Amino acid sequence: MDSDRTKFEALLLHAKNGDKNAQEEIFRMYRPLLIKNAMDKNLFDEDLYQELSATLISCIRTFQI
Amino acid sequence: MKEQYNDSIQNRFTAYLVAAVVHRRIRYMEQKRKRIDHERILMDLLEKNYLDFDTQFHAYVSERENAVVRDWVQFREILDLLGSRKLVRAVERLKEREKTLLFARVFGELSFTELAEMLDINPKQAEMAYYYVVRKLRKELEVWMRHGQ
Repeated sequence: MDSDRTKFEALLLHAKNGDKNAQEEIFRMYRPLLIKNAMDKNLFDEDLYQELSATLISCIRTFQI
Repeated sequence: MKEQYNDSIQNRFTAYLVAAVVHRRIRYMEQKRKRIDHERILMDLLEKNYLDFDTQFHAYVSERENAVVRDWVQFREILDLLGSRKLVRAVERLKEREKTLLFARVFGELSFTELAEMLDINPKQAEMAYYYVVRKLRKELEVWMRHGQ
């Protein structure tokens, strides 16, 4: 339990520092959320998905731990 | 303390991300809707080909129909007045040419162009002459109305 919590903080820190693996891991974690929000009336909007991916990258960068 | 702090980091991050994502999605959808609306307007304009004879012809015919309706309204006004002898007398007092103009236009339903051909003048003169007669009649009827039967 404890290790899970600190694990995320570490992951985030690494991702903020440019660690590709950490970034990919976070992406894997949040991909379902991005896909769900990229749906437009049961159709997948590719462009919107790209925008939201950019939003995720931006959030990783700006989030204050 | 520290555990709670760590516990909330992922929750905080998730909340932060969800807010940003939902926001971005809303903006995107608004832009998308505007884009689709503009495209629809553009397609509409493209379809309206102003070189299309059919469209132009139908527009022309509709316009002519409207013109006839307008004249009918005036005709009915005259018909109503015909019930009164005042109008008949006023018409009788018109000059021959004025009578011709009136009857040709009202009963013959001639266009100003046709009227002009008939009288050997130009269409605009025909139009002006016709409305002069109408105004003249109106004025006479007003005078009658002011002086009673």
